[in-house]
Amino acid sequence: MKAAAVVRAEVPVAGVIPRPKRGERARCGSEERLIPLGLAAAAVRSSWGGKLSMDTEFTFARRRTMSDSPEPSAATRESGAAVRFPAPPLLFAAPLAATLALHKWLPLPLPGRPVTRTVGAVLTIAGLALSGSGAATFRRNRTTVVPHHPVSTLVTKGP
Amino acid sequence: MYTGPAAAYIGAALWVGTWWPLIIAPLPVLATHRWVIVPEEEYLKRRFGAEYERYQSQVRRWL
Repeated sequence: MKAAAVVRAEVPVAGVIPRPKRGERARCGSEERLIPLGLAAAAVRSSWGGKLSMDTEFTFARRRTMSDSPEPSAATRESGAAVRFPAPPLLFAAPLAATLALHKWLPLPLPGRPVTRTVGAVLTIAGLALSGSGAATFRRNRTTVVPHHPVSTLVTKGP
Repeated sequence: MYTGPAAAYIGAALWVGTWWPLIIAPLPVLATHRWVIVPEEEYLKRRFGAEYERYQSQVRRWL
C-alpha cells in the first residue's frame, strides 16, 4: 500500500505548516486532503497556490475552501476553448462580404431609403464600438479575446 | 463579445440597402453560437467552475 499523508488546511489558509514526514498526518484546520506522500508537496502547491520552500515547509498563498470548485486541470489552464476559428468575427465578416458582392451581381434592394441608410450607419458604428470596447475591457483585465488562447481572468464587467 | 459583430452585420446590410445579408443572417448567428460560444462556455465552466456558472446564470448570452 502506498504511503499517504492527510493534509488538513485551516480555512482561510494562511501561514506556514511543517511538511509532513513519510507516514505522518499533517493537520491545520478543517480541510482534509489524502495525498500520496511523494506527491504531497506538488498537490498542496497546486491546490492552494502555495510555495514550497527549500526548508521543507509549506507556505500558503491564498484561501481555498471545500465548497470551492475543483481546481482546473493543467490542460484546462494552459489551453483555451476548442474554437477552431482564429477570429470569430470572420463568421460575420465573410458572409457579409459575400452577400454584398452578390448584391452587386443580383441586386435585392431594401425599401425605405434613406432611413435604412441612417439606421444602418448608426447600428454599424455602435456594433463596432461595442466590439472594440469589449476587447479593450479584456485587455485592461490582462486576458485574451482569442477564444483558443488560455484565459487568465473571468471578466464579468464590461460595456 | 458577439453582439457587436452581429449588430454591425445587420447595420451594414441596412446601410448598403440590400436584403441579401438579412436573408442569411441566421447562418452567422447560428455558426457563432455552435462553433464559438458553446465551446467557450464549456471551457469557461472547466476553467472557472462555480464562479463562471454563477455569472452565466445572471447574464443573458446575446442581449
